[in-house]
This record gives sequence, structure tokens and C-alpha cells, in this order.
Amino acid sequence: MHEELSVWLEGLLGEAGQVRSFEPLAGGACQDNHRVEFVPAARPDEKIRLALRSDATSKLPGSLDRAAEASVISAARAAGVETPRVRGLAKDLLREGAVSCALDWVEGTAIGRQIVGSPGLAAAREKLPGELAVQLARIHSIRRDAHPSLLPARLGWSDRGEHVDPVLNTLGALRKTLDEMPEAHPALEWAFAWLVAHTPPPREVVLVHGDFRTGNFMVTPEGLRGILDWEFAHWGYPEEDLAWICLRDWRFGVLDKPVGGFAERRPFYEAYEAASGRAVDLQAAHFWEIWGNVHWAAGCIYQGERYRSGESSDLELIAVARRAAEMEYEALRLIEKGAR
Amino acid sequence: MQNHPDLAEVLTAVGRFLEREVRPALKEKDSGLAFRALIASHLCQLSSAELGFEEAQDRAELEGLSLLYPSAEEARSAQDAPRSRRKAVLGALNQRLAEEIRGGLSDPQRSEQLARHLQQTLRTRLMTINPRFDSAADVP
Repeated sequence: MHEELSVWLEGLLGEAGQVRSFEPLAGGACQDNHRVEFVPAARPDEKIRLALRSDATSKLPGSLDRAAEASVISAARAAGVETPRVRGLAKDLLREGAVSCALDWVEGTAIGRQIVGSPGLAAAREKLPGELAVQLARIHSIRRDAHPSLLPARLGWSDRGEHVDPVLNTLGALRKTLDEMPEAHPALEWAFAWLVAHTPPPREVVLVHGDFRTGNFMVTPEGLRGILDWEFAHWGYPEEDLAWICLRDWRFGVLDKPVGGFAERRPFYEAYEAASGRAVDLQAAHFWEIWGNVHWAAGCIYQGERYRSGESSDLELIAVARRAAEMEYEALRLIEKGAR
Repeated sequence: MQNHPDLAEVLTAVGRFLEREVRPALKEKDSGLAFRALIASHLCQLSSAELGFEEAQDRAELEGLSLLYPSAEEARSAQDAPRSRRKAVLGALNQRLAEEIRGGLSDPQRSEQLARHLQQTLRTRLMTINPRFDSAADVP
């Protein structure tokens, strides 16, 4: 396998060499991620590091394949987003039928607990809200009229090319997920009924990252190093990303810092407004935070079903499924609390 | 009859074994597997705790459901029934509750009553699935 990988990388990098190490990266429940070290024949003391991201054996609903993800990354880079460059795509490299994507390696950590708590990252945490707001504003500057074929039609657009309101689209997908669950989940039904009755008004449709949160960006003591994991990108409303990073579960225990476990909401939203020229609709953000908890609770239950059905033997899926009640409770709590 | 070690003690022991003996041995060789040993250990320990609470939790949930559906006799009678019966009644009544919510919540008082029951049930469940989850916290 190393041999085949070496030959492919020689082509991509334009020089002879050898793959020296190939290590799985932790934390990829959805994708197979590896760190690859390539040693050029002409410079044996050097090593070129790459991240190799490959289609996992099973796909999550709504996730992009590697080729579509690579197009999104290219569009994001063209819009000035700091995210690792795609070096190339290859089929059948790790597994029959799976597409692998080689990306530039970025230094830093994406581990949630470290980002919210590591003393060495205290200065970075100060800078993160501003840096992330700028990145998010750039992601949200990507519009469908300039990228008509960026994403599959189903993501926000009907087969006939007609625009489907992203809120209705999202709630439709959530309804389908709830309907497919083997057990009744009355708390999720209650929260879903609230969402249907409180849909935010239509606004401009932009590229939404779809999983913009602590754990999906790289941080060093100097600050933000890059946005990762674009597999859930879709056309939607800006507040979806602005709210997702505030979910209780993405605070990694630092509950009094709503933005990703490291910042207050206000400075983050203000920095976003300054960078994007777009006002943050707090009511809409509240809606999306509740939606996010319901969506993530449903996702947890779905993960458990992947184990129970025999599709996956990953023990982590069982642990994740048992945590659904945390998100269910949080959704009901937020509804009771109201927007702030 | 031998009662000890009982099921809860066995689960606690397996959890300890995974955390104190298996995980350290794996840590250097395979960090991914060591992490899974930690997850397994947590699952054993939480399940052990849940064994002690399950019956009281089921009863409380059935009691709440019997207040929502006073004509559902089974909500009361199942409270002292064996586990399989309790779970069957809970499944059926939660299905009924989900269907009522899907049918529309036009009466705000009823809606409020259902929300209170759901919150209380989740709060109780959270105490066993994640004792560190602070459901009383005023999270900003």
C-alpha cells in the first residue's frame, strides 16, 4: 500500500521519493484521516507532511464525498479562507471505491479540551473570536450565483433548479431523520414543533460550513491556523454557522464561554458583523442553536443505530448515542429561556 | 444463595480493570485503542450506576405519564411490574405522547404540561447517563 501511495504522491508533488510513515489520526468518526510523511529522494533529511482524508465505509446523511468537498475547499481558498490546500484526489487508493484527498499539513491542535483549556493556548483563545469571525465572514461571502455547480442540487435547490428555503430544507431533513428512528422521542418532537412554529424569515443564502465548531479548526499558541472538515458544507443562512459553534456540547465543559468554550457571544458577533457587513439576527441565531441541539441529538441516536444494525463496530457510537438526552434537554432549556 | 458479587459489582470491576490495567498497557502502543478502552470503562461504570437507579426512574417516568394520561391504567399498574412490562408500557406511552405532540399543540396549557414532564424525565435520565451534566446551571 505504501508503494502505491508513494507513486501517487511522486506524481502530485512532482518529485521522486518514498512514504515513510502513514498514521491514522484520532477523532475521525466520519472520515478516515491519516498523516503521511513523504521523504523526497533528492533531500533525504527532509520530510513533506500531508493529511490524507478518505471516504469512510459508511456515509452520514447530508455529507459530501471527497470530490465535492475538494471543490468547496477550492472555492473557500479563493474567497481568502485559511484552510489546507487540496493537493490531489485518488480513487481506490485505500479501499475499493473510496476516494482519498491529499491536503497540505497544518500544524497545531484541533482537540477540543486542549483548545478550551490548555494554558499554552491562553493567548490564542484571546484572538480566536476575532480570527474565526473573519474566516466565517469570508466563507459566507461565497454565493451560489458565482458558484452555480459547487454543490449537489439537493442541498438547498430542487432538481429543477428552484430555490428551496434553507430552513424548510433543513427541517424537512430533520423530520425524515425523526421518522426513521426506531423509538419515539417525545422531547425531540416537542422541540421540532417549536422549530416549525418559529422559523426565521428568509434572508440571503450563502455557503455555510455546516460543522463550524471547536474541534474543526487548528490552533497553535499563535492563534488560528486553518478551518477543517468541509463535508457538511451547504447553501444556507449565516446564523446556522454562528449558532452551531455555541452549542453546549462544543464548549467542552467551559459552559460560561458560549462561543466554542473560549469566548462570549457579543465580541464574536460584533467581529463577524464588522467583517461581513451583515447584522446578526439574534432571534435567528437562537432558532439555529435549538435546531443544532435537536439535529445533534438525532445524530447521536443515528450513530447508535449504525452500531445496533451491525453497520459499524465502533464502540464510540454506543457512547455517543447514550448522550442524546443532553442535547434534548438543552433544546428544551433554550426554548424556555428564550433568545437573548 | 450467593448474591455477591452482583451485576453492578461485576460491571464496576470490569470498568476498573479496563481503566487501570488495559488502558495503561495500550497507551504507548495504540492510543486509539487506549481511548476506546477508556470509553468502555466509562460505559461499564455508568451502566453499573444505572442498574441501581433504573427501577426508580422507570416508576417516576410512568407516574409522570399517568398524570398526562389519567385514563391509561397501565401507567400505574406497570410501576410495580417486572422490567420487561415497564419498558413495554413506557415505549407505548412515549409513542402516544410523541403522536399527541405531532398532532399539534394548540392548547398552551397542555403544551406547558408536556414540556414540564419531558424536562423532568430528561433531568432524571441525565443523572445516570452523565452525572457531570449540570441541568440546574444557568448556561449563557
